[in-house]
Amino acid sequence: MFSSIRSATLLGIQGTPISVEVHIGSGLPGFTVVGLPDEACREARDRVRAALLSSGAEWPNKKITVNLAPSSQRKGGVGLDLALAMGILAASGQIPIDHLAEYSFVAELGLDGSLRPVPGAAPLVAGLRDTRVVVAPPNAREAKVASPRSIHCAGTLREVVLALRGDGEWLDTSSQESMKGTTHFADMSDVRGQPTARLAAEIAAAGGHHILFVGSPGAGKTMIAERLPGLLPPLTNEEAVTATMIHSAAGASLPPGGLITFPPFRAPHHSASMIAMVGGGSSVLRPGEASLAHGGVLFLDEVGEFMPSVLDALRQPLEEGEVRIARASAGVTLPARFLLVGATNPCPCGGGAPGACVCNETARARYLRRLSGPFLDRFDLRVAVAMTGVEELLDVREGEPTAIVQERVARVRQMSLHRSGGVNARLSAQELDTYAPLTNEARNVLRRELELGRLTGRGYHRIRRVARTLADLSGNDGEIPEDTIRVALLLRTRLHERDVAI
Amino acid sequence: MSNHLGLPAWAYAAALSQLEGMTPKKLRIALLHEDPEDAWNRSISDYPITEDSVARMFECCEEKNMQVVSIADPTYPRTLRYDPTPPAVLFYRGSLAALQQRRVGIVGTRSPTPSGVYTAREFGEQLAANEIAVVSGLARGIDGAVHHGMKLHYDEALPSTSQALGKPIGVVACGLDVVYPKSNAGLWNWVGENGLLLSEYGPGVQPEPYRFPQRNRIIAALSEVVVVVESRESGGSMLTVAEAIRRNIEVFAVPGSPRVASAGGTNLLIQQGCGPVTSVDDLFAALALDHRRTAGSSYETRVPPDAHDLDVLHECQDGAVTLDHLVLSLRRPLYDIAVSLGRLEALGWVVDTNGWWEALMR
Repeated sequence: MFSSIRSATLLGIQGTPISVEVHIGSGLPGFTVVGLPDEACREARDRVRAALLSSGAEWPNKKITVNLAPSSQRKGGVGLDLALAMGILAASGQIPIDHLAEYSFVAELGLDGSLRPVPGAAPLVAGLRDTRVVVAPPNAREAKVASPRSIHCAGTLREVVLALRGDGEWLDTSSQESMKGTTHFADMSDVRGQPTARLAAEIAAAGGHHILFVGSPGAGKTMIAERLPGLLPPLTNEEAVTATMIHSAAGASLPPGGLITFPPFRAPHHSASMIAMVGGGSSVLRPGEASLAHGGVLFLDEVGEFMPSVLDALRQPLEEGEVRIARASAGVTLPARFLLVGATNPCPCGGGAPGACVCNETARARYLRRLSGPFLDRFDLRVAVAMTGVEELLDVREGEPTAIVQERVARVRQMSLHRSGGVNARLSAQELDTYAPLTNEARNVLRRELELGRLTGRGYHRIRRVARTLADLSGNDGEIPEDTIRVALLLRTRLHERDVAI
Repeated sequence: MSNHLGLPAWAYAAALSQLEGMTPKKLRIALLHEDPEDAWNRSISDYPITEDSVARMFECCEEKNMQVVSIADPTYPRTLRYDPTPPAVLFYRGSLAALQQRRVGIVGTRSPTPSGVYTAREFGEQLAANEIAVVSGLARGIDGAVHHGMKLHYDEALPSTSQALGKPIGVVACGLDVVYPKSNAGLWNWVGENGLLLSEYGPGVQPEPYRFPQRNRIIAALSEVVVVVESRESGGSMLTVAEAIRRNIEVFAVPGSPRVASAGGTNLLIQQGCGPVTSVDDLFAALALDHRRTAGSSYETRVPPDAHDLDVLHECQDGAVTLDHLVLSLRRPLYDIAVSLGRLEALGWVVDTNGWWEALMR
């Protein structure tokens, strides 16, 4: 009386195949689960028993042993419920074993025998190649992203059994399929005035430059940041599948079509923990906000209020485009290539024009010190955003809409892709010399800034990358002229105020 | 009792001033009416202290290059002697002769606008050039800027002419060996070497907040006129003004834009009847000096801006503006304005603070 059913468990954004082995033998009636199950797995026995009984099946009053193989690996989550139930039905002879060989099962069971969705259905299904996978109806769309043809759906345990025996039909899910996602980003035309911040957002999108908005409360930092993902080009197929896998694994909501086709926008609150930001957690190693923003925008509002350790943890993904999480039991690599957008006030009171700040010296210094130098250095663009003037605010004329800006952004991205194989923000120092040569006047401007100590070596390269994007935007593919460098310098406000007097 | 250790009288006065429970008034009366040594011997009968502390004070002052003058000494500054609340003991570096010059007190906020700093620096330069001493507090912002301006002029002037320069006088609110704020350490030493660095507090005394108003009364008392360059409606500078008015010392203020919070106090002073100061000539007039003598020195050293950049400069003249404002009001492309601002900044006509641009005009 033995059966082996296929299912999968999740680690990071990867599904690993699991065999759920059920043995029913003589002995005192009992139910044991072995093979490193976590708490949710262990509780499955009570759910499975109730679900079987409410579906009209028989509960074998014998000694039931369940092994989750491979036994050395820790299993988490509730996705093994259905496989467990099928294993018991098969081992107790209530359904023929040969019907099950080509199927895998990924679903949670309700006490009434209904199938419930599980987080991570897409990567779980992706881990189960060459089989037909049975999932709960709400998981169908994301599961089809991973494996379009071999997904089956059923509402209850009873329907699963009937369909397997050939006495019933699988649920039809094809009708839900072709719901194309639409963009839900607010439009840039809502932004009145703010020419500098608009230009900065355009550059950030076109060149993939991380951007920090500095300005008083109510100046419109958040408004522009929210519109930034709309300027980015739609995700490529590969990016879309990866993004969907990540969202699925994290249990985040997916668009109606199942596949994420537009750049994601993530805006975690500043109380976020390090695990919430970069990923981790107990057995499943859930992706964090940095990975959820993969291909899109990670927006940190009030960036100075985040815990310094959380911000510093972002430095690796910012450099390498992925997060490597290592734990004693396992390690995973999660993709995390995002556009970082920060927003901060210049000081605790919100600042404003020079002389308007009411903060005392120490409070202001402490506020700015929260943003470490190395972290600030990651931002190519540091833009001062000032309150929109009354005239502009009341102006009925709309700003330039997203669609037009996006066209320019797409053109520049295409240009840089042809030139260097990536966005301008990732040009190396050597590539800069080749692809972004300076005119003599432009070089003199930068020399003066360096001599005055207002530009560091790292800042020098960042300015040149931004200038490359700026020149691309104005259709100039050659040498960088003086005015472009000047604009690039203006878009890198000095945040740490030097003592103006001495 | 005989002076068996051979310690000078000033060491006793200094030690006396550091005694716990020694109020300024008690100290003043003691030093005015008896010999410091006698006063010391009488006082320490109340304390479990030996004469060692006098020797320690002597060594400490010698080592740290601090001189001491008490109210009973003939060299004690005359202006302070007739003050309602004179400090009984003064610690100083440099020369008390600096007080023989005409003296202007210049004070202001610790978080000024760039143009406030520029004004203070310019006053410092011109007063130094015209042999007028400047009394200030060596704090951040305006105070530091005015002495910094004097230093600029000293650095420029030939060594041979330095005798005829106005002296810097810094009055601080802590021991002379405790530099506060640390960022002004260089200026602190410069003032001690070229003018007079003064404190009523002994070595090692920390700059506790309540000491600053006390210090401000000395700034007021040492000045013939007091000028506030930039100040909010409350703050240390306004306390200095109150002390000056108590002593019947004339107060002047530099007017500012009503939209700038850090000019709120100076504008209020002008409304209440203080004289406005728009150039250093006004100060010469206030000191009853011939103000025509500055005519030659008021020259513009900056290269005049390009005609193309003039409208950008004019737009920055009435208080700080943002890049957005310039783009929208001048209706010129951002690139164009960026180039103008870059040129103007390189020539020293405009300055940028956190994205706000302000013109620096004479």
